[in-house]
Amino acid sequence: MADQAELLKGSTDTLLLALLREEAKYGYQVIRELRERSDGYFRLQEGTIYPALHRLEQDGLVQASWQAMPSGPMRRYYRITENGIAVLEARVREWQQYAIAVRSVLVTARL
Amino acid sequence: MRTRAELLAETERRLLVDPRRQREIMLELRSSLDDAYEEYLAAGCSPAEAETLAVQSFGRPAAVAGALNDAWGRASWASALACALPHLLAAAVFLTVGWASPAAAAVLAGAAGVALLGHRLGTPLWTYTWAGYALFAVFGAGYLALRLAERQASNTLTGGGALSFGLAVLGLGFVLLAVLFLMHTVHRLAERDWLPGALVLLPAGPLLSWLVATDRSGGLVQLGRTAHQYDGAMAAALLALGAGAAVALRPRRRQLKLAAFSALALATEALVIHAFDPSARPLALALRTVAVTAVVFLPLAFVARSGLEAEAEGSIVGWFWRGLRPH
Repeated sequence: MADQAELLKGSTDTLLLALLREEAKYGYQVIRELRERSDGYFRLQEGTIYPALHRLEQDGLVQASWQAMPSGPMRRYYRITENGIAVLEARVREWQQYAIAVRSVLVTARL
Repeated sequence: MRTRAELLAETERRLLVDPRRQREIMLELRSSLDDAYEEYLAAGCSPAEAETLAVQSFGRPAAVAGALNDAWGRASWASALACALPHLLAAAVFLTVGWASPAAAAVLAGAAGVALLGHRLGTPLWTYTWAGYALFAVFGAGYLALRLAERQASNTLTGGGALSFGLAVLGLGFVLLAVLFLMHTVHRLAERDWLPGALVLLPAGPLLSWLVATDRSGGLVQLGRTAHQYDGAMAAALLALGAGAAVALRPRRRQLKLAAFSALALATEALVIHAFDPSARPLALALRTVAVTAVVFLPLAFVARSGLEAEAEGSIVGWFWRGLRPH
C-alpha cells in the first residue's frame, strides 16, 4: 500500500488532467471514475483529490465553476485549460517513454 | 468516530484561506461527503455504516486542510509586505525616535487598530503580525508598570509605602493578566493552525530579550533616558524579521514555510543575544538562543502538534517523530 502511495504521488495530477480532458467533472465524480476505471485500484480519498484539484486550479491548469444540479445541490465543475492540455500532453509523452523503458528492463528480469 | 458535520467543522477550523475561498471549499467538501454517504446507502449500508465509511474515506482533517492551505497558501507580495510592515515600523521607531517616545506608543496603538481592522475584514494572514505587537504592548506596559511601582516602593519606605505596594500588586496583576491573555489568544490560534500563532509570536523572543536587557541596565524605569545602547541591534533584528517574514510566507509548501520561520526565529534571536552580550561564547550563544526560542515557541508547537504532524508526514522529520512516539 505504501508502494502504491509512492507511485501515485507523482501521477495524481496527470490522472486528474486526463479525466478532465474528456469533459468537465465535479470532484466526487472524479473520485468515482478513477475508482471504477481502475477496477478499484485507485481508491483516492477526498482529502487527496480536492487539494490536488485546487492546486491545478491555482496553477491555471484547470478552471472551476459552480453549477446547480436539477436535483438541488451545487457542484463545482473543473474544466481543463489550454495550459492544462499542454502539460497533460507533455506528461503523457514522458510517462510513455518511462513505461517503455521500465517494461523493456522488466521483461528481461527473472522474476 | 466523528460525524460528517464534526469532520467538516474541524477541517474548516484549520483552513487558512480567504473567507470567500473558505466558503467555496466547505460547500464543495460538504457536497462531496454527502455524495459519498448517499453512495454507501445505495450500496446497502445502514445510515450509521454509511456515515462511518463516508468519514473514513475523507482523510484526516488536519492533513486535508493543510494540503488545501498549501494549494492556496502562496501569499501575494502585497500580503507578505502587510505582514512585514509592523516589524519594519518597529525597527524604524528603534532606529529614529527611540522606544520611549510617544511615536512608539502611537505605533503600538496603531498595531491594535490594524489588527482589529483585519479581524473585521475576515482575518487575513497579516492581521496576526499586527496583533502580535498589540499583544506585546499590553505585556510590555504591564511589565513597565510593575517595575515603576517596584522602584517607587523601594525609594519610599516611609510615607508612600502603602500606595506603592498597592501599585506593585496592580502592576503584577496586570502582567499576569497580560500573560494569560497572550497565552489564551495564541492557544486559540494554534488549535487552528501553527502559522497564525507563529506570526503573533515571531517578535516575542527579541522583544523579551530586549526588555530584560534594558531593564537590567536600569533603562526601563528611567523611561529610556539612559538605555538606548540596544536600539541599533533591535532595529537590525526587526528589519531582519520583517524581510525574513515576507520571504518565509511566499513558498507554497508549508514545510518550507515552517523551516523558514524556524530559521528566522533562531537567527534573529541569536543576533539580539550576540548584540546584547558580545562576549558570549559561541556555545553559550547557541544554547541561550535555543532556550529563548524554545520558551516562546514550544507551547505553540505543543498545541499545534496535530497540524505539525500532518505537515511532517512523508518527510525525514515525520519519520523521526513517529519513531519517538510510543506505539
